[in-house]
Amino acid sequence: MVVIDGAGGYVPLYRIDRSDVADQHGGRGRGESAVPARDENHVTMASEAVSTALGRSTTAAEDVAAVFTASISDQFAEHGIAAQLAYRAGTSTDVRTGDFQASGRAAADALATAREYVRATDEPAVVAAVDVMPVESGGDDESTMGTGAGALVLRPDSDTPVATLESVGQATTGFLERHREHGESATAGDARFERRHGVAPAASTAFDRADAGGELEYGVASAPGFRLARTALEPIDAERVSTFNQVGYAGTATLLLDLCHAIESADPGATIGAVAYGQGGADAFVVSVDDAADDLDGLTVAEQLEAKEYVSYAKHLEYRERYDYEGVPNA
Amino acid sequence: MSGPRYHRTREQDQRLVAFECQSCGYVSFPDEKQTCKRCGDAPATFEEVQLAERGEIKTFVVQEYLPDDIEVPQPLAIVDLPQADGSGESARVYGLLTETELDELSVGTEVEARFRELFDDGERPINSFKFSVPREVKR
Repeated sequence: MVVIDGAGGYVPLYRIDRSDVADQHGGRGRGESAVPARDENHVTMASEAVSTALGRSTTAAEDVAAVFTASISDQFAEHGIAAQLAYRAGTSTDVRTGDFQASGRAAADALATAREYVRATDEPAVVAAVDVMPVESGGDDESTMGTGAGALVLRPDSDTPVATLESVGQATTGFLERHREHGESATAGDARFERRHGVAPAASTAFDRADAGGELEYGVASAPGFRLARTALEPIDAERVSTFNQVGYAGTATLLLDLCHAIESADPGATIGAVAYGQGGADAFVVSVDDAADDLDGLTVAEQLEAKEYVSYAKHLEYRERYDYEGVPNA
Repeated sequence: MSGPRYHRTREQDQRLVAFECQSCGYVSFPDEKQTCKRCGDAPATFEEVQLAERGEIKTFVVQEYLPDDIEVPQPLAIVDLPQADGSGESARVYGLLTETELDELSVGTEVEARFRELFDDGERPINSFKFSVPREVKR
């Protein structure tokens, strides 16, 4: 068995009202999307989520044996996030780290790997995902690309887990439609084709293999669009928990952010089916919520969705650009 | 060779580690000095202490004229950060404010440390601590 001993989500303070994007380029805009502050990056946002997750956990940072991270928007080809998070959190230097990327499934890959690591070693692991999705002014997905982070602390057991990771199933179909080059907005392809031939068979098979057993009460889906996510949840008859209308698609981080939101929102004893669809297939997780989820330290995802400030259309573009102040070198 | 400053002060910049003088209890941050600034003990013996991530503004100034890429007005505060275990004295810390409106600031305002990008080294971000009013204040 593997339990979730701590869970934390991070949503930046700033939002762009999607109607402000529509005012610039036409079309409709409902809801809002999260915008990173000018001084936020992948490491700082993931650190916020990891700090919250560890703060809610019985696991001391120095006892964490592995840190796995996922991102599909980190601008660096060589730099990495996991080792930086591990140092910032205060883990031992013999911690195992891994960076997952290149598919919307990356967070699911990191979570499944962390689960296997905990089962194999009986030691705790941290898994985190973070994304700042790039946007192009006037691009089709400009209004719905968001940003956020999520983190979980996994252990072989705990006296006060927030949830239990009951089972995992995957379907690696090799299906590819949506794709994106570094720093560019995505080429979405034919959405109907992707829903019918990409999402539906992969999500359905992944849930079958997760062997959900009884009915799942809540569903969480990570996919690059509201309708794709809805299709991914069709195999289970569950109430959807989603930050999409407040955060947008936070890349692969959506899985852990929304899963954290669901754990915080559901009553103890509830069951959650979480599915991540991305390039190459889908992964499904079955999670049951435990008593400790009822009394968590720190701001919940729901509270962060409430604590927000709106930025103008110009700031929404500017804040996603790289910070460009070199300070005083070697001072 | 000691390397660049952001490498030498990684523990302070990323983990809020400060240094307590074993003679008088003064807490130095971010520098571990040879001579205690308060009691003059030299060579001083300092021990590492962990700072809490919430403190109180003692004073602040608002900067209006800065390089183009920095948003103004940009407040800069002196913050007293207590030790995480509640023992000893607080450290007096300089820090930029982020996500904080001027009307939210006054002497005595509670602020929390936020791990943020401070500047970049060419292309690479250098992260350290800034301060902001607690997020729950924004609700």
